Amino acid sequence: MSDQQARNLEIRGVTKTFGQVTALKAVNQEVRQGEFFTLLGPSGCGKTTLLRIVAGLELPTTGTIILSGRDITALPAARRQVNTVFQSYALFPHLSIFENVAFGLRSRRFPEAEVQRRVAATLDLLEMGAMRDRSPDQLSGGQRQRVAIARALVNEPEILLLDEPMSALDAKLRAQVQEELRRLQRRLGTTFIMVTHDQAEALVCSDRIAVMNAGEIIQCGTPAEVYDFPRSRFVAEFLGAANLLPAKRAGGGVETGVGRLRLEREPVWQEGLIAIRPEWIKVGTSEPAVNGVLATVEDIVYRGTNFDLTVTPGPMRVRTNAFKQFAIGDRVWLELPPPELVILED
Amino acid sequence: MAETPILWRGEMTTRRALTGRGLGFLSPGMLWLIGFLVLPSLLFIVLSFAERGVYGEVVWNFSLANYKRLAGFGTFGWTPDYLLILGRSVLVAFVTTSVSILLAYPLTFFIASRPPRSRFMWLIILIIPFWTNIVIRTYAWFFLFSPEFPFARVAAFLGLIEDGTSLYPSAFAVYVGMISDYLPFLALPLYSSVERLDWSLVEAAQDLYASKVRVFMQAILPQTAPGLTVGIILTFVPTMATFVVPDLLGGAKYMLVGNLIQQQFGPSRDWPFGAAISMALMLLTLLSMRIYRRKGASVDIL
Repeated sequence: MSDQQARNLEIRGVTKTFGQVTALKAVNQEVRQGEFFTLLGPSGCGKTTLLRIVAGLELPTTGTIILSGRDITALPAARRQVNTVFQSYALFPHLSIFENVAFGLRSRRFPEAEVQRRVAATLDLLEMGAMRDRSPDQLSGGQRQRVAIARALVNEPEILLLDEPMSALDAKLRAQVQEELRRLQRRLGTTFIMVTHDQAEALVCSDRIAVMNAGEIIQCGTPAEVYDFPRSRFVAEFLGAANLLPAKRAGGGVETGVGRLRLEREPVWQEGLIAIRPEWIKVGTSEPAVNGVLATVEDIVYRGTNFDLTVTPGPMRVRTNAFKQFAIGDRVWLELPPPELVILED
Repeated sequence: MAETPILWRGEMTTRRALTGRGLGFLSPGMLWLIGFLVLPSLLFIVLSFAERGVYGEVVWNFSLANYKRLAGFGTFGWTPDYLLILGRSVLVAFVTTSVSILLAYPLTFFIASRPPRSRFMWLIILIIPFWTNIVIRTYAWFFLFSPEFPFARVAAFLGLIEDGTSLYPSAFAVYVGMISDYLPFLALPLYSSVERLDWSLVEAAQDLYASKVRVFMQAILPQTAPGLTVGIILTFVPTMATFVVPDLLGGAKYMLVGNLIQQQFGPSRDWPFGAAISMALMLLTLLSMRIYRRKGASVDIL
């Protein structure tokens, strides 16, 4: 398969302005065939606008959308092999679950036997077969979401778009649905593009995440890449918690507020930021061989699975195992391992 | 036994006190309706079986004569005149309502899509005719339809009417007058539904390959059905019974049931026959609404 064919979707130089407001600034991104791709960012970052442009519900101001080598920028939603799961699910309240799922097939006048077969198969796939004669208002939030997914998937789209699919679900159900969605995508091999503002959701579901801010994709990579190696302060802070240390280049490392630290490689800047995740800081009673910091425990928060300590100097956040007991005022040795110290580019 | 106190919407009270207060608030309205609507209606039912005296007084001899007369069985054999008038009234109400629906949809979508500031202005423009009496509004059409005005000239030029004549009295003038009078009754309730339209359903229908007709039938019509139904009732029911517009713009050529009733209570002084026609009108209206509900239910709208 050539490189051109393998690229399922290409977004080339897409900008979008609404009057004075710029929602998207020259976005370039390619989404590969069969991957679970997530657009992650805070509200107003342009992620939903980008999704709507791919869906054919919005025209880009400039730029092109290419699906399997074909320019689809000017094709409306009804003529794209792309289907959407809407944030509110947008189920037709006057139609049964079966008729909701059959909607796309009936629009295209599929023979009745095929409509019956495909809708039944898709409802079974999502374990909603028993609900076929109910109406949407008789379903729970989770069930409605399944119907919305079934209604899109029954059309066998090249790409399934999901606009904040979990936002209407409660926290516990959300965690379960995230894993189910991931399994469903692996099983079908359909390209999924999801929009979310929830970093945990993005990490659980995605093959790749594009982090968006202020109309731009600022970093794209696998969940591990964007979480472990954030390139910018925004990504470091948006995905999980991070300790940010202002630093100056000095000798073989950097001089920071917590002392001199050795790094794995030289930063490109003279002055900048170093980031480390709270869970990567090791806490001990004796001085470590490298990057040791003698610190005082200022505050302790119990989180069930772990403790979150606030320590000075810094102040820094440190995550420790639940079985380690500390008291406020304890003096501890921290180790900031060089591989876990991330040099931010901005 | 002491009443057990209950908390009702944050207020400490008892069931008995709540019931008493509810009846207290309800009774003025109930008495009004019973005194001025229910009792007169019952009286009308009785009256419709009575007889007209020689001098137009009511003679309490009960028979089905009035209804027979309405069905066309007169002194000189059967004529379809009254039934024609009833049928024509249903037709006029049906056409007026249908045309109003066709006009109201684009109109309400236009208003709902305006920015909030000018939206209010457009609504005012729609409501302004209500501030004028219906008789005055109808007389205004006399001017607009007079031979000197462009409407009549264009019609004359096209050969639809004779040169130098006015566009009224005619069926056309009645329809124009009725639609312009009743369009706001349909458009305002419809607007309240259109304003709250959930556009994501429209987008979902588009996303699922629906044609324009299908988008309207499945995503827009079901959502606007509540407002549309109120609008249809508010338009259909009064147009069935209207008499001002057909009287002024239709003349003797285009008599509707409203005029017929008015004639019985006015010049003809035949109250029992007027009551019988009123009963027939009421039955016909209820029947029409029933058909609408049936049809509506069968296409999954209501």
